[in-house]
Amino acid sequence: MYPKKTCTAFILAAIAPLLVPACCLGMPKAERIELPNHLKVLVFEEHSIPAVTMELLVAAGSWRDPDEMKGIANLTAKSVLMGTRSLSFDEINSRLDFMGASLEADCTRDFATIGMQVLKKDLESGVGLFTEIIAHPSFPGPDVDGQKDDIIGSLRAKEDDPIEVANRAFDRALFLDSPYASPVDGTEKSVPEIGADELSKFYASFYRPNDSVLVVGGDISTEEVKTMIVPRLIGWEAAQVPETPFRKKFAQGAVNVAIDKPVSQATIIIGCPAMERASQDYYPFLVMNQILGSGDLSSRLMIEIRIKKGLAYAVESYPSARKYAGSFQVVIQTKDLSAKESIALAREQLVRLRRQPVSDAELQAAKKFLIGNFPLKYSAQQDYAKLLAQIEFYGLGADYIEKFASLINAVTSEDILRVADKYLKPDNVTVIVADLKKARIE
Amino acid sequence: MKATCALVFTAMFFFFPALCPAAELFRDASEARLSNGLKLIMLENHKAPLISFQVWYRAGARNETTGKTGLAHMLEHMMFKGTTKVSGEEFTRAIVELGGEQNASTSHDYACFFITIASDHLEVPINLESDRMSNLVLRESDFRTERMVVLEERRMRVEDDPQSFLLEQLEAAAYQSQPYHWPVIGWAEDIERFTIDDVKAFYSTFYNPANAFVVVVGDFKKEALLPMMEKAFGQIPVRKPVQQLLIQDPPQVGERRVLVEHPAQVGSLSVAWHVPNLRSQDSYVLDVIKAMLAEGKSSRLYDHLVRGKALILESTVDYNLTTQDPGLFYITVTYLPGKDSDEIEQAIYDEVEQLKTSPVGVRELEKAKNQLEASFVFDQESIFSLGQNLAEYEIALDWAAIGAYVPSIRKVTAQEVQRVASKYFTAQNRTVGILAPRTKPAATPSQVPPQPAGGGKKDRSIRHQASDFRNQPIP
Repeated sequence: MYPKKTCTAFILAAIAPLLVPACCLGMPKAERIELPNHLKVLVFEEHSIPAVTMELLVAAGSWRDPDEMKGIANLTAKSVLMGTRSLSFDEINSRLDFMGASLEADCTRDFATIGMQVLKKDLESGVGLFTEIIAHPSFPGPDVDGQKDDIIGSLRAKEDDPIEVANRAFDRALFLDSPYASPVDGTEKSVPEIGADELSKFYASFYRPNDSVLVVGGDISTEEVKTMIVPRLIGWEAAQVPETPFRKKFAQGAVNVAIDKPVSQATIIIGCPAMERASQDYYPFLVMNQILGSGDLSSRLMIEIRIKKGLAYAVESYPSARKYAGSFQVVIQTKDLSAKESIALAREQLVRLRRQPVSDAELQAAKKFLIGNFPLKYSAQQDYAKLLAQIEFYGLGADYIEKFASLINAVTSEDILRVADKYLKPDNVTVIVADLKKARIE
Repeated sequence: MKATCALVFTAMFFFFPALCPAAELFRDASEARLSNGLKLIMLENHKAPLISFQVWYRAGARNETTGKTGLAHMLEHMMFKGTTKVSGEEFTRAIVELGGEQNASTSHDYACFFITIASDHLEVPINLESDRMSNLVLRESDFRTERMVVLEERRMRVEDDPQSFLLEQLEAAAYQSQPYHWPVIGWAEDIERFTIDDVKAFYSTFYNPANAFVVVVGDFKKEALLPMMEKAFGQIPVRKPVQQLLIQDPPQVGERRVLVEHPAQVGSLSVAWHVPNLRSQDSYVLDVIKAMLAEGKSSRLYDHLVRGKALILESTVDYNLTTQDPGLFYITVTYLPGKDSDEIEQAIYDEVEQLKTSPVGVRELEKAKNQLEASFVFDQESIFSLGQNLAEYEIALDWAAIGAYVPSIRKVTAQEVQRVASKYFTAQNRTVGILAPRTKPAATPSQVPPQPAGGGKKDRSIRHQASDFRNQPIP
């Protein structure tokens, strides 16, 4: 009785993508407004909870950091929340906390984001606070110093996290002296040197409406956005944003980095350069990565390293495609003694992808997952808002959500062989953070 | 299908004050029992064509015995190894190919298994989960390999994470007779010791309808769900329900101190007091105190110790009212080397004394309540969280008790805050754990290394797959 049912499930799975445009199931349509200052505003309605999400994306990521001020983009994003022309740190936070609203600033290599989630009943005050913060920050000296201390403290703590240590070493080794090489949050040496004045200048240069996207979504209508939010942002002045040159450079040949730490488990990253996010190669690469190391129990790395050999709990691979060419990584955590064996097994899988086409069953399964999982992955307001903002930032097209399924469905096993051959370099950069003696690595 | 007539169906509705936005979220939750007594908790939510299907077993680390800790979590891993009808790989593929997500989690109180999937494939989780409730195949070879995976998980979660290591030590000191004394993942020696027969015995004792319940949230229709459930789960034989002992430590007779030595860049200090859970009204007061101390940048610990005195890097307060046995209320802080841990500890006690001696102001109390209510609402956005919340209340007391959460928080008074703080936050009732930073890396390789200061206790349950510990910025 049971096997029949499983059968039914499989048949349904096979025809499901043909029956429905699976990818946009349940994903609310976004409406687009452009303000006179060229701020792009995307609005989506989603009324399941009485809450509203606002997400501002500014093209001011750490790739804009000048060489002598590593970490300024991140410090600026964090310090935007420290005070405004009319509100002190304490006033901002007591208002925010009284509403139980959340307010976060984040910085990546490509962009900075400031996001708020607020209950619908507090929308008016939430909007007032949010727009004041993004358009009129004052970077008060003592609070910026406090923020610097926070960052320095977290940098200190990260030195002890094997994943962080390995990631930093990997970026340094792969990106050489290109802007993607240095850590987003700067260093213990660079951060204290940055002054509040420099933050104001960085903000004035790069936080411009014409280089930003605002997504507003949740229990709100486009009409409410137009009457409540737009008038408060019209005065945010547009200006030419300075060009930041980008030196694209990657490590050539085999680069091996070994970092000695008294840990019981080795953290290993094997990687190489990948593509720009806007590249069409991204989609075959994404399908390939799903087959290789998506992180779920059916990926090749998971089967070979965890399920068959029991060598790791965590093993995963992923591309970080960015505005400029990013990286691809395989990450494994295994006991020191199994480090060498795990590296060999992972490399074998990379070589296999370059040599043999993936099977049709694997290809179909990967596509079905990526397409079917798309609406689930972005079902929360905040995640969906971030997705919409990034689609805009990376120029993926206003119809990206509708066309995602066809982009994935178009991928063939030949495409995967081609991108594997083009990008995967199994011996390019290998980083290991371990007790090197126990791992028997010199 | 005639099985519907075998169902006992009860619906429960809450009546909240009309203005409370949190009230809406669980209003339509209901329960039913299948013919074999398996309890089903349901909440229709049609915001997206998705369902979250969750099977909860009252079989966590608290149901283990000395020498065999970690068995509940080990079994959770073995639940992905296949049944008499489906192999482990087929199980995973059946969900992945539908774009679904699956994971599992074990805590002291439970093991749970969840599948989130498009709602037109509702039969898939029903069939897979009912199958592995009774037909699991436990092979020696799978067990041996998977035990290595679990040991790797322990290295990652505990041995190479000083904060987790500190809490493991602290809890082993704070709890004596309660099974919360040992870690969910188990002691390494126990994991190496237990056998496939132990796993089999645990499975046959705990994994049956008498000891489980199912939560379904999302885009389904009750009328369609119930016959499907009856057909798949209703036939599973019921065994004797396991007696769940409610064990409580005797009152602590004096402060306990635990010192953990680690080479670390950052120090951690954690103070934990024995407190009641949901079974006591005081639990709501403790939640309000948690928010006053550590919720947001206007909170007392942030304002006084991070910003004001600049003594610490981060502070976290952890308290979970939905535990089966009474738990602990933790204040955890991290600090840079060079700071005086005695001064930091004293500063924490000063904050606690403040709670006892000065009544909290009207606005501050209101702020804390607003924060708790808002996070309660934000948290209900995902169908997964909605289901998880219902289940955790069911584990601790009764799922319907979730309706009382916001009204009970709203009722807390300034006097109760003083009374509850005075009652529990005493020197006699506390256990203090200190991870002293040593900036010089240890020479002895056997020592456990330092790890990031994440700011205290994390989620107490542990997951089957670590898929989200790196961030992927791009869609």
